[in-house]
Amino acid sequence: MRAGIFALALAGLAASATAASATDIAVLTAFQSSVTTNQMINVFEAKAKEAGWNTTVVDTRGDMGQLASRIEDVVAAKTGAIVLVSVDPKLIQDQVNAAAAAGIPVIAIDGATAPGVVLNVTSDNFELGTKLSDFLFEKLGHKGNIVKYYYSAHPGVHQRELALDEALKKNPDIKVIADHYMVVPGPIDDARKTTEDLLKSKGDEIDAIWAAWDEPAIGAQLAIEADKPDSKIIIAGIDGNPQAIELIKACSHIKGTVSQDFDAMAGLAADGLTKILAGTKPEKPELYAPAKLITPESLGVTCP
Amino acid sequence: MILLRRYGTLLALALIIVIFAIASPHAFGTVANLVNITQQMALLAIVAIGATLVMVLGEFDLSVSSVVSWAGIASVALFGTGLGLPAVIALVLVSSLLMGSISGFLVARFSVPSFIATLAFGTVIGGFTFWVSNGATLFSGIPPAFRDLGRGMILGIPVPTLWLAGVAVIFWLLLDQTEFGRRLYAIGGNREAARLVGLPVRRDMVVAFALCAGLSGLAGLLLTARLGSAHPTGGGGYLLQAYAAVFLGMTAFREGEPSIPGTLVGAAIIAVISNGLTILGVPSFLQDVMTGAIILAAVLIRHFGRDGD
Amino acid sequence: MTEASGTGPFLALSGLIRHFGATKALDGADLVIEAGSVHALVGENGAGKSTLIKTLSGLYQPGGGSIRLDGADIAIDGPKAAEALGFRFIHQELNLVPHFDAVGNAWIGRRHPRRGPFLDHRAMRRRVAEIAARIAPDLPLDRPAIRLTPGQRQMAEIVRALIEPARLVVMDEPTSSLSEGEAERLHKVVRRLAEEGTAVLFISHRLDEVLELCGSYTVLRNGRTVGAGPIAGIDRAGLVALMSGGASDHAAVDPMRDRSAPPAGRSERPGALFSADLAFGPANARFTLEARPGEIIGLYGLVGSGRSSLLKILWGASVARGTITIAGRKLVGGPADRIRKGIAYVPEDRRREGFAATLSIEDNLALAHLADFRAVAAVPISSRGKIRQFAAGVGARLRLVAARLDRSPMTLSGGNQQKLVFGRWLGRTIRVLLVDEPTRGVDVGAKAEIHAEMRRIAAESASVIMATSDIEELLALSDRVLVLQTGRLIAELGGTTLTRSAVVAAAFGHAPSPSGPAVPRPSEEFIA
Repeated sequence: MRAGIFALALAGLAASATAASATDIAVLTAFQSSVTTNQMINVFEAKAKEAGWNTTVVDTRGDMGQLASRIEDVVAAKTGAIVLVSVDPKLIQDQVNAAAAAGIPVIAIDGATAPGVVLNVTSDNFELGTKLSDFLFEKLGHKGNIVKYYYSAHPGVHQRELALDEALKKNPDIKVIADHYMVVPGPIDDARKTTEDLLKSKGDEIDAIWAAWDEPAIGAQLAIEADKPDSKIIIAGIDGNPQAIELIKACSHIKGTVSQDFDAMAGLAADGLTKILAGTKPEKPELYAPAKLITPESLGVTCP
Repeated sequence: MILLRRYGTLLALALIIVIFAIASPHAFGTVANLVNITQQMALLAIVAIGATLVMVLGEFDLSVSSVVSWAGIASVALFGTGLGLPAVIALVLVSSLLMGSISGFLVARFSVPSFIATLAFGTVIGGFTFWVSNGATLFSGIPPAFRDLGRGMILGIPVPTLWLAGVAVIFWLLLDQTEFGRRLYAIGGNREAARLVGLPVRRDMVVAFALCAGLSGLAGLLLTARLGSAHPTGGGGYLLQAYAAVFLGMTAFREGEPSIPGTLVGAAIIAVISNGLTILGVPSFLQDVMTGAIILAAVLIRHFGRDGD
Repeated sequence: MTEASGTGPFLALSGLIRHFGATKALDGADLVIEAGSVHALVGENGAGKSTLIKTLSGLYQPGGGSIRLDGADIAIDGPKAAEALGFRFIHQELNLVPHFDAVGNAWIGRRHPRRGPFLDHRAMRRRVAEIAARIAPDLPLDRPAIRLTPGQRQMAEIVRALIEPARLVVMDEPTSSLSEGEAERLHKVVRRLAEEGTAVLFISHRLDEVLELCGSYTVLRNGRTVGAGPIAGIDRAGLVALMSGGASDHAAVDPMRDRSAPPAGRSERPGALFSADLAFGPANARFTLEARPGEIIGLYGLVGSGRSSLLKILWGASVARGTITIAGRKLVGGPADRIRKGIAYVPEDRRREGFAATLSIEDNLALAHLADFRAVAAVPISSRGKIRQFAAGVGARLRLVAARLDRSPMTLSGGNQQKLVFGRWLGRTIRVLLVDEPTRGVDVGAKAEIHAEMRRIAAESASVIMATSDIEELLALSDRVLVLQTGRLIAELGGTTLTRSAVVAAAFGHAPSPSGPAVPRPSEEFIA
């Protein structure tokens, strides 16, 4: 009886999955729950459809061991190409090497360069971090107390943190009075809770919140809006997350986000992959998508 | 029909493999891939074997994933201090065994429900792990010799598979063929009776929890060796899957008790489904739906099967 | 299997004392067992038999007295020590591991045969098979205990006891859950053991069985040995007299008994007739009951007689075949329906079944009929004020001693907890009150108050059906007593036939023939 249930279910799946003859592209990530990762995957999938590729998205929810196994699986399935999104290929180097050895091209979006990776399309995260820090410090008049929300596990996000450290060296009057390592998945809620606590303990000392990406910034905004709406705390993040942009427009405490152009990144990746599949090697192993600062002014809003 | 009921879970595993093999003869149905699956299930199965020991007692250890993460981070951190390979492995395993003993002691001595004791203590371990790692993924300073413990092949068999084989044989013998194993089943079956006949109930419980954590520690070391890096929540995925494997395994044989062969079947089902569905290009959310549905189906059919026994 | 040296007894316990707080479970108990004899240990509920066995098995340490084995003083400091002495115990609730077969169960806690570090399954099975061949040749050795019959489980326990040389096998009520045929088998095995030189201490409430099987006896009452000797020197009546205390066979009129209202007049009171016609319990025999308004019916019987199950069935909390009616209307559904019909139930285990420790005293009082405390009748929200008022009223009526009514019932003494479980029913008209062990573990003062309350409830035209193992209480309160044995009605006693010795004699009587005793009421058609 039980076997029958399996048989039906699997037969159905098998039929639907084996019909394709187009190029199979395996899109693998551990962080699909992140808005921006998801956005890149969506744009990439759309581009892939135009190109006539067959994409499968696998998300292992933060589990790198699983991710390694799934890469082994798609290598076994002789997929046409592997696209790693928001993952540092160095953390799964053995599997990337195996893919390369099997002649499967591996590209990364928002990842890093590594042996066996043909192309990495990303923003220069250090640059993003520098832009964010400079913007925030400028707003504070190069003097004040900030809170830092960071996440060192993500290679790109870690670069932003390093950029902040660099900027802090040039601005000795800016003090980090609290920092918090974000919980992922669930950074918005985590940031909200942390900010609530910080508002209670150091609410009057905080001048600004430095968020390594927009989701913590949104969480911080939610907390301030609820607990201390009149405070002068300013928040800034990175990514150009649509929700963050809305909040900037609405004159919230979020005063800026350094936008990565994810759509452009995914587009560049798809273009790159087309060339790779056609047999041409990209000129550079790493492509940078442009970044720009979004503020109320740039959105044409005047806030009180 | 009786055969189906008794060995249905085993048959289901065979059937899943056959169906995948037919659907994808050149990718799934290859010897290389099947060997690869044994490697992919190895770490999960080692953690699940530990969980089996505790489940035999009728208890839960929810700290297994925390111990896996801890072992990974601790090993890389210890390599950073310049300690040698044997010393690092010994320290990590001893620390894991100790963590398990503490959980076991809380449960056996103070009758704290194991669900709560291990959940709480697992959180403590998790915090400790974050503290040691500063939250970052650690990957520098791992000696290549250590990495070889979790990758590569010996005589055509992946190294993690060999680890699993060794662990499974040892713990199968321990649980099925020694007095200690009999005692664990007796305690799990009727704790009051075990006490009345003078079994060392508390000591055995502490040992079982310690071994469970020890195996989680071993899995953490192997995971780190396999990936060449350690993430502070790297073991997070193992908790639910390990217990799913044990529960599936309980349905695999007649007695309906946790057992090592059963747990291996359970872990294999989970690994085969992930591997096969990925190869067939099924999105990961659907894999979750399938895995959950299969566990539910197995347990339910077991339940209805009881009436006919 | 070694014979005791010399002519002294094999095992002699003398003057054993064991107190639990104020309760004297053992208060100078003696027991002498000869090697190779079958010795009966009898006594009423609570006479101290279980405590005596637990002392022998090393679970309790005696507060005084001595245990001599083969003439030498010994101390038994734990189950392992008792095992090493060759003492084996087959407890009333069987202690097998459910999914182990007879072989696996037999070796638990023992040194298993081994080859190297591993178990020698073949040798394990061989040894068990040898013993089973002697004792119970048809015991399936490979079937998990959970799928054995009660008789087979007993045999598995006995096989387990004999895996290593045993000198004394203690059996606590081994036949209480067995059929007649299975009991016969067990008796044969017991005789066999004695022939092989193993002493058997046989605890049973079935006196016919005791007289037929055992060679000697010891009677306990109130923790003291009140009689011992060879079975040949005593008969049924003699044992009953020893157990119930005093050779007097006359009704000792209890001074507490309320004789002011003659039972004869009660059937004419207003109220509803409550009746049941059921089949339940292991005997699955027909059982009928009729309770008239104003009447207190006592249910008596030994452990396993089915008193508590009967009350649970009447309460609708467990199911049985048959019908239960009140005022001629059939009761369907569970407790909620019973409550609506004016029936109330006070369970035996108040802490587990009686109240919720997480709620306050007043909330517990209101729990059974929350709908009565709504602020607005149509809205299911309780009015705190109404609950308070009700709780205060009940507290005053029952003289509930509580520091505060908004605290947990765990802050109350046992007697006051019991009053609480009673009190929750006082807000509405009670037509039938079902009470299981109304005063167990309750001090004397509270006991009198609870008894008074029960009489008052009966006087307000309710039928009260009370199960109790306290014979004093039974005699003090009951108008009529029904004696049960494994779900069968053994005797109905009332008026002049209701005496202490009659109750004890009935309860300890041998199981009657399957047709049962003459049911003193005309039978109606039985709905299966």
